[in-house]
Amino acid sequence: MSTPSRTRLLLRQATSSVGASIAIALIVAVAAGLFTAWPRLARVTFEDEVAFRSAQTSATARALTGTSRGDWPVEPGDESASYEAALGTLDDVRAGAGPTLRPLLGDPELLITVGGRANAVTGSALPFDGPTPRPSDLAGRLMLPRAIDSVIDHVEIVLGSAPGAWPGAVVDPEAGIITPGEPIEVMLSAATADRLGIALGDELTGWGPSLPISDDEDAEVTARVTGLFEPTDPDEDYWQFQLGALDARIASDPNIGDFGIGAVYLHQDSAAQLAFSEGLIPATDVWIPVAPGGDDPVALLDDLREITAREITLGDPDLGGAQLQLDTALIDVLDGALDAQRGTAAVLTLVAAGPVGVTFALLALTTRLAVSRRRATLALASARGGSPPQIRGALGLEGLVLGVPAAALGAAVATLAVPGAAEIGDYLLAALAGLAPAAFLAGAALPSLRTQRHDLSGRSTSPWRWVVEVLLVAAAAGSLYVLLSRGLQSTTTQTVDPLATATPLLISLAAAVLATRLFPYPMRVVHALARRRRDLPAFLGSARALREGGAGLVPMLALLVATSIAVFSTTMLTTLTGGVDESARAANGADVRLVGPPYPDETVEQIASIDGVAQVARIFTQPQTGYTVGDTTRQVTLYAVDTATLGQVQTEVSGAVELPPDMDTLVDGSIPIVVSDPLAPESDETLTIRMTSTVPVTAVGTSPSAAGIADGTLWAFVDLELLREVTGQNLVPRMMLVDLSPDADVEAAVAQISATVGGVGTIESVEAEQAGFLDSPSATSMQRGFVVALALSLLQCVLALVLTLVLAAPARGRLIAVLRTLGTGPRDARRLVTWELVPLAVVALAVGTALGLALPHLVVATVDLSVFTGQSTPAVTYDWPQLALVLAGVVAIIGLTLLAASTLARRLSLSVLRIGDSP
Amino acid sequence: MTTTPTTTQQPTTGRVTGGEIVCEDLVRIYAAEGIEVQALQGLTLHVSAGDLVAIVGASGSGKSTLLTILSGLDTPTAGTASVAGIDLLTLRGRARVAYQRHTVGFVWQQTSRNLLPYLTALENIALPMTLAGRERPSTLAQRADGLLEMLGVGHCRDKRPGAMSGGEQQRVAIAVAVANSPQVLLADEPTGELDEATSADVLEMMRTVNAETGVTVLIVTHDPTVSEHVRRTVQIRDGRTATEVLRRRETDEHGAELHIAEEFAVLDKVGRMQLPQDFVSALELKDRVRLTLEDDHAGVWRDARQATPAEPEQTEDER
Repeated sequence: MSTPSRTRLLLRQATSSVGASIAIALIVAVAAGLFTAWPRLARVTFEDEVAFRSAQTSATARALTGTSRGDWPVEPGDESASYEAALGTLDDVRAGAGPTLRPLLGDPELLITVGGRANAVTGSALPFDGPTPRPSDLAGRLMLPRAIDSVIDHVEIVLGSAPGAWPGAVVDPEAGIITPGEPIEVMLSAATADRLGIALGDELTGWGPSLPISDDEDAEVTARVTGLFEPTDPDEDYWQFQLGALDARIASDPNIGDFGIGAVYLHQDSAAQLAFSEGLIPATDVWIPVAPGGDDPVALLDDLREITAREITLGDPDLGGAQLQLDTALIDVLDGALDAQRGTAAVLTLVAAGPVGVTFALLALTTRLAVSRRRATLALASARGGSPPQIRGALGLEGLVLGVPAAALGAAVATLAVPGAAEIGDYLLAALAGLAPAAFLAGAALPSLRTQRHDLSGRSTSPWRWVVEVLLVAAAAGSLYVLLSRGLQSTTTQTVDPLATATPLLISLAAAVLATRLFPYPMRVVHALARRRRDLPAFLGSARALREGGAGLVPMLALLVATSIAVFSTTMLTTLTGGVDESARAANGADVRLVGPPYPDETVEQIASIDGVAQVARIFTQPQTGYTVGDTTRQVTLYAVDTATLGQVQTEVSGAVELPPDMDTLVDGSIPIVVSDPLAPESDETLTIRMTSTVPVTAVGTSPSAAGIADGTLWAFVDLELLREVTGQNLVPRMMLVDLSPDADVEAAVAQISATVGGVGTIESVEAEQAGFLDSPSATSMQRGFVVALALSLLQCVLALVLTLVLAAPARGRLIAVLRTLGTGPRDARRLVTWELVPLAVVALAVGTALGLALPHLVVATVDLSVFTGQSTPAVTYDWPQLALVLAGVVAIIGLTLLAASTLARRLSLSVLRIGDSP
Repeated sequence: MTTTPTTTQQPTTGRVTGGEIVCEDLVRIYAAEGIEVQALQGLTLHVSAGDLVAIVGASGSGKSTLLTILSGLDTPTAGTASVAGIDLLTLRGRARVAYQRHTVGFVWQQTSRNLLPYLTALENIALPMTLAGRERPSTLAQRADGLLEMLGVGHCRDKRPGAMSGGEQQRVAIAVAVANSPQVLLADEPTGELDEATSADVLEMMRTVNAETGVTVLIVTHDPTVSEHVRRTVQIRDGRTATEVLRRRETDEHGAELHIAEEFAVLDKVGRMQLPQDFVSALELKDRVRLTLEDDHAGVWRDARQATPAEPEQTEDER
């Protein structure tokens, strides 16, 4: 009854076949959701990782610390150079920190330590005497005067009182003399006092500067202990910045004995008064605690870099003052995290590019389905006077109505599901997905009412298709060439590299196009074989695959991408793990490395007899060994090792030292020696090394590197037992390299080794490092990303196969109807469907596998992977059993789809043949 | 030569100026992979304005191709074709759209190509008018109703094609075809799927439309009974027009109605014509024929140098 208007007719047209429209809307919604969620998840994972890493860093490493030696940060008598003024300068520095850093900074601390000339054993501590006798086990006592104002807030005075400020030396201008005046008040921890034999009230002498009272008399500055304290919380980070505050440190000189060093605390203003003395050398330590956290790691890094670049001057600049710069290990941690994240992002973006492209291809296929469902309407409308702009406009409008709300919905769901700040860049792909249906629908080829002969050719006769394909292959080849010639690109740039992302996608497209074009050739052979047999579906199926193969570009692409992702991710993971393994092994030197205490021969034998241990090699290190060639002597590091077993222990280590056989026998009465390349002797000069005596040696070879054992460039290797024999010295090795047998239980073996050495020293195993990498956030996020990409692309495969079948259903239906009038059964209908898909799937799997095997080479050549593996181009390793398993999984899923599709094919292909029906 | 057609249109189903169809040496070749098909091989046809003509031919003779060309869905390869003064060879873009909207209307054999299954009869008729955009929505429904009444399917106004009989569907299809008041109405096998009684009805409807609106009607069919309802029948053979039959009714001196049908061979511009197949086989004409000019006719003689077709024994016996 109502007047049929334009919009009403449009609506009727849109609602006439909703299946394809719903499919389009669903694909767009899911795609938009995924496109939005991916970068948000990446950001959240990254922020979590940074927070995790920075929390793992110790407080002392995380804080901004600075030191200065030799210059006084405070001066007496000058208000602007007092302790308070110095703290004020530090407060200004803190206030000037960047906006991201500022909320994380705690109160600045200034510690002034006063010491004497440095000593190898006792450092710069000042020896002192006190009335209370020193404990009998100590050969001497030393003190480290320290001044820091905040210590009073972290301790509880148990005996006595806190020290007051020392007024300084007393100057008598008339008499022209300076007297020490009062002793300086100090406090120390009760434990230190106990250990060093100091009692409350003791006057400590012998450490301080002397002042000439008269021409022949000197008086020295002394200290008096006014208080003993206990820390309120001995475990808090505060004490980590000033070691030795809570208990005395024992330094031992093997010739003389043990020395006790204790820290004593002055009042902060007392330190300035000591600035006149030339014998006292000040050390200034500044730290500002940094709390873990922070939202924006990149901005935090910038702020940290900025604050660590500033030069801070404490004290009086005219008199020198203490100059220092702040530094923190957090910069390296953040840098490392950023690099790891960028490396992961680079690899994952490469992987994700494929499914993104396939999504748009699927949308194109679905719109083709929608257009084919509307064939009648569109043909009629265009024949009865609908101008192309009118019809395309209507289609485009429908595309917008379908795509834009669906994309908005998907993006909204993703934004709500993944917490975090929203960035405009996240929504770019989602917007593209929302507009894609409109573009594809408006750009579709309009069907015509004119009868067409489909028996002449199934392929598209448009010459433009061929041109487009050639352009595509050229673009892929070009971008590949540019990418390879650009070489290794370090992942320090912020934005995702478009060339690196687009190239795998272009290559996949080009491979799909080439596969579609070359597909008829093997098919012809199959067809010729099928011709000779009596089997109808084989013959007919192969003939149809030949003629209509061109329509299978999208499912070919989807299958190809899925297979290549599966193979690529597996290979990338094994490559990265292998790279980690190799670099860990090179750093470790062997399967297990023990360093630390002396390992006597019995211990070595015990370790060698542990289950799972294949070989043991001992290494005795003597640095600064004199190596004389003729007249010149150089200082090299000498390694005395088990030359017989070292080769076996280090078989898998790249860059290991190459030792010739028979190094354990004398050569012409001298010990054979292998030296590093720079030390290679030029002529037949006499070579000797200096142990407790001079030992003649003969050079039997050189080696370019000694991975896992020697750092630096000047080193030499001899046999341990031989050296022991010749020198008569009992050389006890402090390092051991252990090789485990291939099927050993690594954990049990390491535990037993650890028990044998009594848990002393460090034990590092390659397995632990590998496990560490695999557990690291980067590796787990990469694995997760791979799995998600694979699942997605398999889903797309299934969808592409189903859509292709549905698109081909009308033509197949007519064919099957004709065949059934000729007497074929329903089983043949199923087999026809199988023949439609199986050749396509086989070709796609083959090409996809080849692509997946080749792509890691591209990644390794263009992405800097040193952030994961320590070497920038690890060798690509293929784990064939794992690959076979993964491929079997992919094949299984596709096979299931085919099975389901062929059972559904009967329903899809039912049709009644009518004479004169338009094809 | 493209001249702007003038149409005089009155509100509902007023009269239009019928379009003249002129085809001379029309050629249409289809080329595909290694195959070339000559559907029309120099077809000559003149249909005067307001005429009702049937084109008859076996399948493969090119009649569907002719109709596709005349309805603007296809472009001829060579020759001239003009409908209502519009040259079909150079028809492109917007001119083609205007041509399909306002100059021609067509009816196909299958309902699926004439009507959209999900729209009612009224909406189907409204579709071309909405596409053309010339009618205001208020007059649109009025005009559609008028067309439905004229074709006697007013009761199908709100029915979907699935709920109509074959004859009703074709009549609605005719209404859709003339919705925008075209000057030429083309019909491809309109009675192909219908029984005899319904076919007669539909053809009668076409005659009504032709008589009432003055639109030129061209029906293509292989059904010889159609030719009994039309004044002029043209036969197509091998992509060319071969013969024509003109029918008329006369009342003789006794008052009885006589149906007279005269068969002609079509002569094109340069004088070429096609001899009927039975003539050719009866005289065994082959390769060359001799022509003689008489006072009121021209004669066609077999080439004397060819062997005589008569039984040799008989002639010998006669001698």
